[in-house]
This record gives sequence, C-alpha cells and structure tokens, in this order.
Amino acid sequence: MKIENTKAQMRKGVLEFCILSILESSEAYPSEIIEKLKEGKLIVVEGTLYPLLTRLKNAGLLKYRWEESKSGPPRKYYALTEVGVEFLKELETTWDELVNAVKLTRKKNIKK
Amino acid sequence: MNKTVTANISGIVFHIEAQAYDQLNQYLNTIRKYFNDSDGKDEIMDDIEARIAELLKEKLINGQEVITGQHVQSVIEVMGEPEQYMDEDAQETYSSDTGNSNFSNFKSKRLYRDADDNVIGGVCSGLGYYFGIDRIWFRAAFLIAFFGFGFGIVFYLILWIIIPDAKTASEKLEMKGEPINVQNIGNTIKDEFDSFKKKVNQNDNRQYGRRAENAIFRFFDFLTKVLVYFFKFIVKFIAAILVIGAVIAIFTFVTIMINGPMQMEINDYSINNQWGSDFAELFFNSPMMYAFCLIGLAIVVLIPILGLLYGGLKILFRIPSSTKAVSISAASLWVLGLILLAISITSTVAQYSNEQRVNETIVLDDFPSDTLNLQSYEDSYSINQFGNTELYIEDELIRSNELSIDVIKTAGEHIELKVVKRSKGSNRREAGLNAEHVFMTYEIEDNNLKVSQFTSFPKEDRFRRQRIQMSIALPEGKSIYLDPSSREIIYDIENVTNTYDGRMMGHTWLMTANGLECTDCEWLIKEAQETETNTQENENEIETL
Repeated sequence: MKIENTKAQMRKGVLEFCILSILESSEAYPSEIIEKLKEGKLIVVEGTLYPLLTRLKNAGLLKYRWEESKSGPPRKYYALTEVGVEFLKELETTWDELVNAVKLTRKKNIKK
Repeated sequence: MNKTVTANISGIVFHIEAQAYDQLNQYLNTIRKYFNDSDGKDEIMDDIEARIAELLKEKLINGQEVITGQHVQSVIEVMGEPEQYMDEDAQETYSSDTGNSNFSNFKSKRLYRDADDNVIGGVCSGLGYYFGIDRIWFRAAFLIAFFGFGFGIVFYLILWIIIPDAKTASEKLEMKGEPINVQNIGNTIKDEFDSFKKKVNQNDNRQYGRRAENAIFRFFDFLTKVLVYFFKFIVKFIAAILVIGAVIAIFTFVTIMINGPMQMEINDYSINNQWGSDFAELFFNSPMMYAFCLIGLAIVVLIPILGLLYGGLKILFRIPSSTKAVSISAASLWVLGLILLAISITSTVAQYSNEQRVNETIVLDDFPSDTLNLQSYEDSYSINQFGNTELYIEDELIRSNELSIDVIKTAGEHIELKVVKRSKGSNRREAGLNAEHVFMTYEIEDNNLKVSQFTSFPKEDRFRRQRIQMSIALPEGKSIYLDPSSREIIYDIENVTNTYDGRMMGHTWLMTANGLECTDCEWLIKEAQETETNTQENENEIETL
C-alpha cells in the first residue's frame, strides 16, 4: 500500500465532485475550471482535465456550447445538464455524510 | 538561424522552429497513443490541441512571431507529461473498479509482467493477475514444462520478451484490473440495467418528457455497450483462432524442417531409404547453398507466422504496443532470409541452365540369334508405379532410374544399341562432362540383353538430371522379345498396330518394312478384325440413313 496511491485515489474521488460543483453556479471553460482546481491543489497538470470533461459529458452530466475567443481557437463552455444537477445533489448528500463520518471517527481516536 | 515550419493547431496558424515542432508532435503522438483505448479519444485530443493553441498564442503576445523549443517546453509543463496523464487515469481505473458511479468507464485488464513479485521475469505473476489465478500454478506449470519437455524455457523467454513490465502505477493497476470474460461482460450489462431501472424509478415524480429523454439516453448507451462488447468478443475470437493456427503452423513447419525432406517429394523425385538432407544436398551446388536455402526458408516462413502469433496474443491479452525496434528487426531479418533464399535458388537454378548430350553406339555384330530377348535386372517394378524418378545413394555413386529404351528400325545389317546420355550443368562443358560420366549397367549373354533400370553417376557430379535414352536399332527381319521385367524401361515403342507398351510385353515383335509387327498376338488379330467389321457396319448404317 503506497501512500501516493491512496492520496491520489482520495483526490480523484472528489475531483469529479469538485468539477460539478464549480459548474453549479455558472458555466465555465476549461481554463477557468483549471484555475480553481489548481487553487485547491487538486490537479497539477491541465492535461488531466480534458479526458475527464469528455467522460462527464459522454455520461450526460455535462453539456457545452462554443464561444469565439480573441486569444485563440473557440472555447467550449461547459455547464451542468439536468441529470448533472441531480447527480451533484446526490454527491453533496454523500459528501456531507462522509465528512460527518470522518469527523466522528477521528474525534474518537483523539479521545483515546 | 533556425528553420521554421508552419503548423495548423486547432485552426490557428503558427510558425514553429523545426525542432520545437518535432518536440510538440512527439508529445501529441505519445498522448494520442495513450488515449487510444478511451472513448471519445478524438474529442479529448481536439480539446487538448485547442488548449495548446491557446497557450501558445498567449506566449506570442509580446511581439514574438516564432514558437521556440522553450515555449513548447513550458506548454508541456502546464499540460503535463504523458506519465502524469497516465497516473491520473490509473486513479480513474481504480475508482471505476471500487466506486459504484453510474458513469464509470469500464476499463479492462492488461497483461503485464510483475517486476515487484518475480522469480525470474515476473511472467507468472503477471499471468496470475491476468487470469485471476494464484501465480503458483503458472510457476508450477512452467517448472514442469521446463523439466518435462524443454519447451517451457523457450515459451517463458518468448513471453518475457513480448510482455512489457508494469512500470508506472497506472500499468500496475491495469495489470490487477478486472478481467474481460463472459461473466464480467454479463455483470456489466446487468449493472447497466440496474442503474437504468433505478434512474427510471427516481425520476417517477418528474415530468414525463425528461424521464423519456433520460430513458432513451440510457437505452442507447446500453445498446452501444452491448454492441461494443459483442465486437470485442468477435475480435478476441478471431485472435484466438489466429494464435491456435499460428502455433499449429509453427509445429508443422518445424517438424517438416527436421525430418521433412525425407518424406517430401520434390518435383516428383521421390526418395527411398535415404536421409532427406543427404538427398536434398544433391540438388544444390554446395552444402552452403543448401544451408542458405534451409535458413532462408525457415526465416521467410516463420517470421510472418510468428508475427501473426504475436498479433493474436496482443489482441487476446491486451499487451500494449512494444517499440518499433522489434518489428523493424523482424522485417529486416525477413528480407535477409528472402535474400538468402534468392541466392540459393538462383545459384541452384543456374546449375541446370545448360544441357548437353553424348552419343554412343554399340554394334552387336556377332549376335547369335535373330531374336533379341530384352530383360531387366529388377523384376520388382512396383516401387516405381507412379513413374517418378528414384534416386539412391550408394557410396560414391548416385543411382537414378531415368533410363528409357525404344526400339527403332535401322538400315544396317547388325543390331545396334544407340545410347544418348544427357545431363544439365551450369555451363556447356560441365553439362558435357556430367553426361559423359553417366553409365548404364547391362550384359549380353547368348541372345539375352539384360539392362538395369538404374543409371549410375559419380556423387560429386551431384544430381543434374542425368539420364539415358537408349534405342535398340533392329534391321528388317530381326525380332525382339520384350520380357515382362522390361516393363519399367521400355518407353513408347512405335509399332504398326499402335499397341501400348504395357500390352507389348511378353510378346515377340518382328521388324518389317512398315515397322514392328507382333508375331504371337492372337488377340491383336481378333481385335483388328472386330474393328474392321465395326467400321463396315457403321458405313452400312450411314448408307441406310
């Protein structure tokens, strides 16, 4: 059991959740999503994001529209689909439960 | 001064230094190769290229016009090295295996060697993971195969070479992933169904339109997945046939190569009681050319079969593509084999390019009788019932049954044996010498002419289609008795009744002014009469019509 693997798995688990959360309030194009994810130190390189976005889109959770850009090729603006909103709600519930569970178990350990 | 090239990245034109272009191209190719198996590979690549174009455009803001290696390097740093992509994806693999998310991407297992848990090369560990069986069984099987048959070590080495080592974390996870098998495909389809049903239930209280949209999406998604798995199954099935076929072909070929020429018939030359290699060598001009032919043949035949085997195994066990070095060296080895074979064949064919004949005449001037009795030493002609050439090697001599006897008419007084010896050779002189060296075994005693079916010639002349055609020239009034033992040597003897060789035997034939005539064939006279009456009847019929 390598610590890197475990860390990466934990990070990976919340990555999709975070992407959906970022898109909850407003649509965004990949660079904006990357900025926020980098702030949270969730990803280090941009390349990781593109396959993930495509997969979420193919799963019907995301949709996108094209917008012209002054500084390069047209950009894809991603937004949640209705299925995606539902999905995110479920994830949020699960997340709260998880946070709760982690809090509980850690407190117990500290008391010991 | 640097050379620049123009490149179109995602619809935007860039001037890039040639070196930087190569670097970028290589980077994109590596990533593309990595995403080869992912759904939506093209879309992912388009997105990545678009982002790269955007980043490069930003670099050029301060008046620069040309993209340099430094720019490309910094873009790659932002986007991430291919290894980093892979690691991220490995985590996805893990999450889709453990987590139960609806949109998890089904990723299957690959065959790798496990260098962390190895005895020799980690092949057995890798196989164990792949088939989900404890590696100890593979180790035991290889051990038995090693001591029992000796094939084990060869097979192990082959697997060691073709199966790559699981180096990165993602490769290790791929190695341990879920295997593709019928049960698993079934489970996945069932999961799809369950989640589909769950979705439908959850959406019960929502408006009909959305539910339908969702259901249709799920249904098509499910349908595509079923089709994809079906296609994968077909591909694996073909690959399995390929592998089995290739293994059978290799075994057959090796068996033929080891003890083969002995059983083979090369251009109708059948071989008896001789080692195939001794015999086959006689066709070539040196043992080296024979070796060239064998090695060349082995390479030319085996490499494509091994290629098919490798391709089949790759599909079957999802072995990732190895470096081009293997295929390039295999291809060059194949060309080398072809060259060896060509050298051997052309040098051998050249040995047969000229033909010479040598004539000899033996006059039997003190022949005691009017009837010559033609016999053969060998009364067993069954060994040669197919009319093939037979070769024997006897110490320093080669014996061949290419001898034929005809009976012709001569104006002279004495019976003559006209012997024509023929042989091929690489030039006229050699062909002539080869022809001179051929001799026939015969003996004349009283009125008997005894001839051997076999001609002989020295072994160092090798086989160059040495053959003898003898004509027995009979003066008018003399006759010949064809003993049944001569069946194998007489060939197409002309006679007035057009009787075929096989029926001429056991009879005496007299040389008349018209040609050979049978003196003791009652059946022939009868047949002749019958034919005549038949013709008359036919003529009568025609008249009545």
